[in-house]
Amino acid sequence: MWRYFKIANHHKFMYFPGIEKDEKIILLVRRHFFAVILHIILSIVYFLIPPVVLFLALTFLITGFEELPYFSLIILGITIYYLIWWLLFFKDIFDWYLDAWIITDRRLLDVEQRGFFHHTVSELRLDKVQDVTVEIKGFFPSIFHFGNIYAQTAAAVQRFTLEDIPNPERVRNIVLEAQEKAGQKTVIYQGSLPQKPQ
Amino acid sequence: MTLSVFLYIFWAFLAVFIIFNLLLLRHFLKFKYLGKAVFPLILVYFIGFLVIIAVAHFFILKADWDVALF
Repeated sequence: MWRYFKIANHHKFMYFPGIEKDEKIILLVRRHFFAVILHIILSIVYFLIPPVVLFLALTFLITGFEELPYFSLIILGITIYYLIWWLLFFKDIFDWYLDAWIITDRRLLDVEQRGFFHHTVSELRLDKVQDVTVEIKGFFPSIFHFGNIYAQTAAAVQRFTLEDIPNPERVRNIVLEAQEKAGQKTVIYQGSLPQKPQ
Repeated sequence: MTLSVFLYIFWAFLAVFIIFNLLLLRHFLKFKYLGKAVFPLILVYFIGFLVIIAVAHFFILKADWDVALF
């Protein structure tokens, strides 16, 4: 299973609709796992609520499990609770997993997933990218080294944003390198970039 | 009227929930942008879903549903 997971994540096995002939996928990035940690911790707390409440009820209120009033209804209630809990837990996981930037040698694709049924795909040709900005803001992003990347076009119609991505400088460099290769003439750099050897 | 009425309501809910999950499965299997990468996640979700239903029915079958409501 894990092997399949790793292979499936590899961009060589990636495909997306409308991929052009000879277009190569350079990188697939998604949000840092820290961004979903809070959701996972909250989910664990929600998971523990029914057993804790049952334990407290059995310890302090009622003598035996079978003597619980409407014991059968409690089972049904807990089952419905866990079915909805499992669904919402996976909603967060799917949201994280399907939110991604696909960087090819010709364009950027921003695949955005919100919940189960809201799905947006935006596309930006690399030759339209004017600048790429990296922002690392806050304590945890600085410690775990993740941040936001903004790709701005000359038309300033829409700024491409990817939030909480790991190692954002590396991703910016990859985008700029791909952009140069794609034949962009004017590149405006923001922030510090390592100097290329002459 | 016995508690079994609630069991039937629960099974009706479960049937709707299963249909919703099958639609969800169909929706994500048609998701093209990350190839087949989403498949292991769907698999884990459905295994968990079946485990919850199985564990619930272990207790449901042991419980007494012939208790009069009123």
